[in-house]
Amino acid sequence: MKSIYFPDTPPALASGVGNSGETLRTGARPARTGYLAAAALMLATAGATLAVRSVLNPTDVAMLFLLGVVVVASKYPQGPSLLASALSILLFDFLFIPPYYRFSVHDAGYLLTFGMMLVIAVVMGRLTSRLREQADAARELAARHETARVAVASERLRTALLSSLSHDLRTPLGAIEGAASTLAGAEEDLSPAVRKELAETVLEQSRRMSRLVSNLLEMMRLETGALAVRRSWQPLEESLGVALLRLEHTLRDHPVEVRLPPELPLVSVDEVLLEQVFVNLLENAAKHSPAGTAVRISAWRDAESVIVEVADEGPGIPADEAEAVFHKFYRGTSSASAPPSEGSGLGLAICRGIVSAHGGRIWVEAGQARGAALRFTIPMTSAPPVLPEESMDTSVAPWP
Amino acid sequence: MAVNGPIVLLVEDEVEMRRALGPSLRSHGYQLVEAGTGREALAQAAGRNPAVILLDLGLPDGDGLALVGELRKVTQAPIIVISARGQERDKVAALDLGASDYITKPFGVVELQARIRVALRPLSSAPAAVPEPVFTAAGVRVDLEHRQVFRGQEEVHLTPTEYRLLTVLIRHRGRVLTHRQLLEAVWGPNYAEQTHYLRVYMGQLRHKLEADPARPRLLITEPAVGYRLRDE
Repeated sequence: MKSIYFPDTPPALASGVGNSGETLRTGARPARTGYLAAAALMLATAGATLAVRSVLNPTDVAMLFLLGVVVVASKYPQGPSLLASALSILLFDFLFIPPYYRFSVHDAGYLLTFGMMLVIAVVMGRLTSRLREQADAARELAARHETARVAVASERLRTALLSSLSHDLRTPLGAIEGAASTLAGAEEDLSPAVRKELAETVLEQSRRMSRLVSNLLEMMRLETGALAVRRSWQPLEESLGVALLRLEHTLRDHPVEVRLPPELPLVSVDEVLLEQVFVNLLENAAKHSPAGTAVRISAWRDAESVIVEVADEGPGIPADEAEAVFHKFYRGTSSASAPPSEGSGLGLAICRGIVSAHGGRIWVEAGQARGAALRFTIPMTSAPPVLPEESMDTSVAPWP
Repeated sequence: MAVNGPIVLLVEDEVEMRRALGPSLRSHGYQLVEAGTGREALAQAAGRNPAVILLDLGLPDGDGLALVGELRKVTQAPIIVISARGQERDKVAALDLGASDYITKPFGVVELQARIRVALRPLSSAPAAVPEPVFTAAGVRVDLEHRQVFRGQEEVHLTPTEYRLLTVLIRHRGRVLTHRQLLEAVWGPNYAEQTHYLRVYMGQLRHKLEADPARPRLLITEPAVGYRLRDE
């Protein structure tokens, strides 16, 4: 899961490892296969040659057998090559050299041919197995090189992340220090209005830092697998309500439309984590859409899951960034509404981590007329519990 | 500034937090007593008789949770636990051990003041003799004597369970109640683990009482802990 959703192990590294594994397996191919293949190939050669021998002279036949030996030697180690050459000699002798169908040889010249066939098989076998070894070594070297290259690249990435992170932490810290030192140093010469403004700067910036730090912590918990999912059955509305309350300030410039059909089933989720998903999606929507435009939250059910959508009326997410936005520390390149220094670039990566920990998917829905629509699923793997009906009683039961 | 205001015992090992909280508590008329360790806290709790205790769960000398139990043995003063996000299990455990409320770091002083005020307010102990027979908040009026509930001018009909849930929350208004506490009070001890009962009925209550059930003003969710009826 980790390498898919948080691609800090680039696919190149994974495939490098895969390649060297493949090489090892080829080298350790069971010897029996080689022998069987050698025997089969030589019998096939004999058969084919037998069919067309009227048009061939014995030298051509010897050459064909030799070709078979070379083929075997190029694919398999010494053993099968030797078998191939022995078989070719026997078959050649038995089938093509008078007296036919006997292993005796009248023309001593053929003994030389046999000897040559044997020598060629041995030499070819040696040659090809050395070639194979060299190829393996080269591949391994390439894999090692790739690993090193990836290490360098990820080191560079890490440095970039660190510098962007320290910028993100320093900016609010600087603002806090500036405002607070003015407040602390000033005696009577600050008007109450200025005083209030400075205090609000401190408050706002410390909230920003606190959001960043908790995002980082959350990411760390997701990545180290320390995240425990504590599920319980609950209405979707509850976590959404907590998120909306937490974001009252952030969403003050956006009318929020909630469309949850009453027949929506209970979902089995970790409420604290689901709340975090809503918070991050809503924060994102508020950040990337102009003030005054609506943020819509809707949900509906399909065969296997409940689908939730958070949509805004901002510039939307370009199709070629639809996947990248879920990568950690990714900040949109083309978003005009939010300067790149806003946010940690972790929000959607955390959403993906949490949603997939629940067995769901999250994606940018394509083909929106305007704005961005992010959707995620909560799988309904088992039927929600049913509560006994309570009769609507207008006269309330006596208090015990 | 009242010098004889209620004594608040702040149990907090981080000097920065003490420095941040101290002035504002004092300026609101509380007498502040500080403790940096569990041992100091127990000594101060026994010696100074605080009206309320603020306890940071992350103390260095041992388990903050265990300290809740220890403090309960020496004082009946309400304990407000200070803890971080993501420590919901500890919050629930502290409440089960006898803490009366919690507040999540980072928090504003206004929020803390509100929690202290609620903690200092005595519980209306006997439900039969409710001292204030009419409860009003967020456009909702509950006449506990005649068992009638109104939203604005309109009477709202509740099922017996919904009404019972509402009255338990009203009795503890302003305070957090854990899922378990509410389930036991409304459905009985056999239902202590059936949190979906509580969540479904809470949803029904919201749809009947809240102007916008997805943005409750009255029936507040305390994630993974319980609920709180907000009355200010």
